[in-house]
Amino acid sequence: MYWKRLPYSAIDQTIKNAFDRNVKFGKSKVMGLPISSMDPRVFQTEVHQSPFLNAMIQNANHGGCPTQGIFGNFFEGTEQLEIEAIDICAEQLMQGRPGMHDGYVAAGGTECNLMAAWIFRNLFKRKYKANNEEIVLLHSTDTHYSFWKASNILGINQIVVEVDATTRQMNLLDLQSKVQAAKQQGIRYFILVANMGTTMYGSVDDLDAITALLDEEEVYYKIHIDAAFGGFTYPFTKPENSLNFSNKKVTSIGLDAHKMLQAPYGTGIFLIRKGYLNYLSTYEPQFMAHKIHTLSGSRSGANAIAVWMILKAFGSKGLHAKVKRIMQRKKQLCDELDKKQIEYYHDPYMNIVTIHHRHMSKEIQHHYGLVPDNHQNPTWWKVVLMDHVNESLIRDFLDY
Amino acid sequence: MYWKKLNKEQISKRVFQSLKKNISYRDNKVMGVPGSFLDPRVFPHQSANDDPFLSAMLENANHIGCHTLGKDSETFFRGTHELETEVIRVCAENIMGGKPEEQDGYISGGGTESNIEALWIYKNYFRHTHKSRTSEIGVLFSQDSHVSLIKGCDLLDVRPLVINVDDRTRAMDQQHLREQIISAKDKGIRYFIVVLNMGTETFGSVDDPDKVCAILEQHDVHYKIHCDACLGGFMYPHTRPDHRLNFKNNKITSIGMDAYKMLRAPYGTSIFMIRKEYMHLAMTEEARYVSGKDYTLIGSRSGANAIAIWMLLMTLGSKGLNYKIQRILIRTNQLCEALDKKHIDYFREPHLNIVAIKNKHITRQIENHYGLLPDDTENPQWWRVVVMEHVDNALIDSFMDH
Repeated sequence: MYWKRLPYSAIDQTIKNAFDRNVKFGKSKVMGLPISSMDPRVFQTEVHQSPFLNAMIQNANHGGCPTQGIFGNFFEGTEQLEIEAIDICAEQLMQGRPGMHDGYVAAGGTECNLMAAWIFRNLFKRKYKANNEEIVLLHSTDTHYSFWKASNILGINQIVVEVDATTRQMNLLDLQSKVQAAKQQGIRYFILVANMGTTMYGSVDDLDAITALLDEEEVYYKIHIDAAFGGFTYPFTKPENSLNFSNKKVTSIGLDAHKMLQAPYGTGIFLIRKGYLNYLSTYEPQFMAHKIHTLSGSRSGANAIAVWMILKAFGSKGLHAKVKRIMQRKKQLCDELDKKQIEYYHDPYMNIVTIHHRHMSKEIQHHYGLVPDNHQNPTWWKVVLMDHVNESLIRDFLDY
Repeated sequence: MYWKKLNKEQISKRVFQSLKKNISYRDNKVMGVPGSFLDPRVFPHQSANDDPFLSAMLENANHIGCHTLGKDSETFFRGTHELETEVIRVCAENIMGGKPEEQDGYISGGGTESNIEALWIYKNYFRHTHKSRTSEIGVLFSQDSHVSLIKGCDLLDVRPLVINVDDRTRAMDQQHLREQIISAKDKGIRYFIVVLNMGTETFGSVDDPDKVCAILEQHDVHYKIHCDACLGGFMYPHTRPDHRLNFKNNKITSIGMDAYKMLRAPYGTSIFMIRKEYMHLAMTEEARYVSGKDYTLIGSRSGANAIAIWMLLMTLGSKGLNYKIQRILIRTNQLCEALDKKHIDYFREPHLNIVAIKNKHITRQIENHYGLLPDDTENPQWWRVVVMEHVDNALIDSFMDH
């Protein structure tokens, strides 16, 4: 994995050049759009020293999917930066082959997950003439709640597989019996979600074991990787993994830049192999000219620029160094928890440490802003090693 | 319609007070969430210059969930959630005529999300309240409606029922509406989600709720109405205060309006509003780690966006917004008068700022030069002009002389 770091001046200049290729409200003669720059009577516009804040104020609209073509768009200058950010994520972090994917900066992990489930449901319906009753979402119980949302929205059922309480891995016996039972009920198409870092535990699914079992059962399936949590960590800490495009069974991946990358909200990264976005097109005659490639409509160009800026400001080496530093702090935390014989779960390659409820007091939870697995009836509380969780904060927490 | 204007100092003070009530990734000890301030190595924090909005961007609060429900929604960002609640109240009560605290709402990612959230809630409403099957639900809207409704119908697997419009008036063809309802009933559709426009994308046309409701009631069907006011929501209620597409009309259950259009907010600022007792239909019970649960399509979202709308509404006040809109309306009138003089064929809803000009008058050069958009990219019939604040008299004159 390698991409170059750019110095601040080069980042600034590239963004300026990109904006020069966009239309400019107030300067170019734009009369056809119901949008404008941010209102200068309310928002400070003297932000030229910050390319990102300047991009916010310029308020470019990146609606649509840039990898489907941007030539002649009103905002093609900055959309080019979005394509570059998508390429880095798909080709460097997720080991895809150049030019073989589509992608865009989505609102967040939930949108990425909905996109994948929506596309695969349509694929099974349109290509194999499946009924909704023959299609299911298949994932572990630790998977993000957006798949329960997706099930409700898309009108397809879920198979939720139990996990082992100590390893947080899918229980393969449970998986097998549930898949077999589903087949007997006439379910033929599976949308498998594999996690690169679950929200609560940071656990990573053993994709090879799961697909081996599905292959044995001879069922159709499509795989989405939910890397909203681990997408900017795990590829550095465990480069040899099968949860990416080097595995030809993987079709789509979602990442979140607004977590580890400290980008603003509204920076999910949706990636999918070429050819699949067509399953979103409409057959309604009055609307056929519209190209439907994304769940969102209009969306902020500044968000895409923010992701591009972070990737370029760090370069692959800089990001790797950041991840390493965080993982060292995590080791320090785990070592101390071991010494104190405190029960916790962690994936060795991820930056979440989940501590058992019995070691926690109300005061600690509150004081350190910890989040439980379940607000009504907590069993686990997680510590997320972000960049701002530094050594002194960890020390302070352990001494509490 | 009235709400007070605040001056710059008052606005700044209130935003910073609210940010202070939030948990701070810098000053508090926050170890439990995968969130942080924007990376200061890439986004220098001094560049915010004590500006309230830019500071809010850099603080990066998460407004996941729906905060008008008044339940225990995420305590980490309680301060700025209050500003979001105020935005929803100004829009639902002052602009859209709702009774105090009788509406819920949240800042959605855009008009598309607002439309889909409404369809999703009503689909669940019919499924829960009437025990309907999904195949018994249809979504009724005019052919001039936004493409997000087609997107939403496909996503939610409910049937779209598209109504033709009259080519001159852009009003729903009532005969076709009747036929569509009858044919839908024949196909087993018994529940109708109706989306009415307060300003369609290409024409700015506004649907007539009374006519549509009368026909639906003649056919004795269950229906729920969402008003798509994404384009007209910050204008039409000022220019036509007696309109029937707001919460004063008890047949309207929800409304969506976009602040990133006329109001010039950043992207990600659509306002979704719905009468009380509906939001829970979009609740994901399994969002157990989210305090107060999630009721929205999108999950995590930027708090700065809510703050931006609050700042815009408070800077303008209702009078300032009205003034801004009257100016735009006058310029739109001037454009139309000039078109009349040249005998150019166009459509315009008199209370809005969109003018759709017939294709025969438009050359490729004009489209390109003035960044116009067609109704249909492959086979354009109309090209629209949107009179925004940056579309000033000089630009209009230069366009007319072209």
